[in-house]
Amino acid sequence: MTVITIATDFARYPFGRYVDDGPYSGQRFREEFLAPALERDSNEITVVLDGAIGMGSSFLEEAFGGLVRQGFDRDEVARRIRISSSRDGTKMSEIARYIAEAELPRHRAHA
Amino acid sequence: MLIWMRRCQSMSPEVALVLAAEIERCLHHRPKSINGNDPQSEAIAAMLREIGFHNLLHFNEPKVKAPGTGEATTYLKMKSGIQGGGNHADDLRALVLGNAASTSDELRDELVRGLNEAVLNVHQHADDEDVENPYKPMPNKHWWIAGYRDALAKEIGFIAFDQGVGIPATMPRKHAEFVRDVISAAGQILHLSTPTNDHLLIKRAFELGRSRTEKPSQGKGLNDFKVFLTAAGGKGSLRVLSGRGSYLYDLQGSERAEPLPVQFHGTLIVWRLTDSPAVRWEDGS
Repeated sequence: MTVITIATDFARYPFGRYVDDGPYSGQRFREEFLAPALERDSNEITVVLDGAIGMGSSFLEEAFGGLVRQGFDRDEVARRIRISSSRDGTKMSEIARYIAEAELPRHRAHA
Repeated sequence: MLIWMRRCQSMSPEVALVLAAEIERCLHHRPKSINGNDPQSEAIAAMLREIGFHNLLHFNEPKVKAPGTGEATTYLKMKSGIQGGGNHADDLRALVLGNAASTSDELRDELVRGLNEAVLNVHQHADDEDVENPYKPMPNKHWWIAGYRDALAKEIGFIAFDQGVGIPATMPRKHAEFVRDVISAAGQILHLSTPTNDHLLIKRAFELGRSRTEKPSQGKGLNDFKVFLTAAGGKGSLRVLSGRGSYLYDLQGSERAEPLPVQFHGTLIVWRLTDSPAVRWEDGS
């Protein structure tokens, strides 16, 4: 099982949606951590939120919702990614919502 | 163009920021096209200097009394840039959090989250390639930010400005068209000339938590402003001017959306937070 702790593995202050927004964006977290972990490990991926400060909706939506747009199966993402937070349950439901509401890539949406 | 500030009696930090941005825009398109003077009021001149007005524009700083160490207000000096507003997120955090290390984790998280989205929001709304902008802004999604920390009033403030097409122009079409139809019908009934719906579109953008046409994954950060204020507590407000609309959200729960008599080129976002338990001050309160 893979465990990714955002605060120590990536950034204590994650920020922004795209790589243009800054060095610790949701896009970069998805491309360098989440997506490779999903491809490499067929088991559950645990993402630990504790210690990371100020993760805005832009960061979270791009990191997790972006997986669906990138081409990962929505149900598989929802099933295999487990969010761990000792004090903030709202972020878990927020992330679940982003995965559930993420739009499919355009060519898939019309398929 | 002559900017005559000699008799200026009062000026808020947000006015200083928008004025600096407009001067920078004019100088960019027509170098050496601006001349002017500093306010006679030492308080205003000092505020302009401390908030970085002269420094940003490479103007000579006025020779007014330097603020003492006990001065109540400290400023985050104006910053101007293109994209990547996140590069300045650390400065903003330091300004607003000060030495608030004892702030609870939850409140600190919401505070930083609100700040991050505020900075990010500036450049997300700064431009939209699909919307024609007759105003000639600074190129490359330029943005300006500033802030202050007033220990006497126990108030922190943050200001962000861009010269883009504005929030109303970047609303999803189905919502924009609905509001426009309602306004148009009301205007015909009341015989109003050129009614504007921009204020309602801004309000709607905050309700939806998104604003950009055809890009529903973006713009969710608008709602983080409200979430932040609610989490922070105390007295707070969020004010937005964009296009021909004005929107004010008060922490006590009231909202006010009003049309502006003239077009405001770009988007100005100002939030203030007073007496918030989320913020600690140097005197330990």
